[in-house]
Amino acid sequence: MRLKLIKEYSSEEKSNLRHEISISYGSLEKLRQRTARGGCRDPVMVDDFMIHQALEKGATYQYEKVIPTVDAMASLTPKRVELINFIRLNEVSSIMGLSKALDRDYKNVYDDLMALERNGVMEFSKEGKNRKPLLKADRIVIEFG
Amino acid sequence: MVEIKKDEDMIFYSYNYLVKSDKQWKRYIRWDNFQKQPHVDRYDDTGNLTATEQCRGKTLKEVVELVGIFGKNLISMDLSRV
Repeated sequence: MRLKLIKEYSSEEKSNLRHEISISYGSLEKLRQRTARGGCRDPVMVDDFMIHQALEKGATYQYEKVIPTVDAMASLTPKRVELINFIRLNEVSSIMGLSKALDRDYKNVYDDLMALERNGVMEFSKEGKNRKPLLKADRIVIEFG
Repeated sequence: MVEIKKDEDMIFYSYNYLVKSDKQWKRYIRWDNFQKQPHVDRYDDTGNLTATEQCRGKTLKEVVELVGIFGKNLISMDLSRV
């Protein structure tokens, strides 16, 4: 049994991803030159270059993460599923805001979010002093066998 | 793993086998078809490329099977079998 986390990127997210890739190498041109020179010596760079190129041509982008252990299933407790659903359907700007909205103890919500982050379901973006929880997946598929 | 498809055709793939050591994921084997050249790359503990060999194109299913075969003996495996 395994969990498959799937996220289909929106146009804006794809544009942001392209921008992030370019910036992390200085510019797209630098990435292009380094990939032509470096090849297999920097495999992450090759992947980034190919992804950037495909997105530039209008490709759809789907992120998938497979969690193969039964432990991952155990990590999806009813409370955590409730968290995921709430974040999916509502604008959440901070962990504190989330705990208030759900009328749950801050520490428990924090611990649940950290567990979900460890399993690749959740990530955080910094907004001022707050950490905004974001879902890394918009579909969670359970596969048997 | 990255797969780029056009319709049903696979234009680019990269499958990476990583091993967790000292809380860090280290890449040991990578199969990809960068510049339309199916090949396999092998890396050492420090992430440096140590070997590149041509191979016929690999599917994810084949890669998963290979990784399953070599498993914990990956470091000492015979690269020619990959």
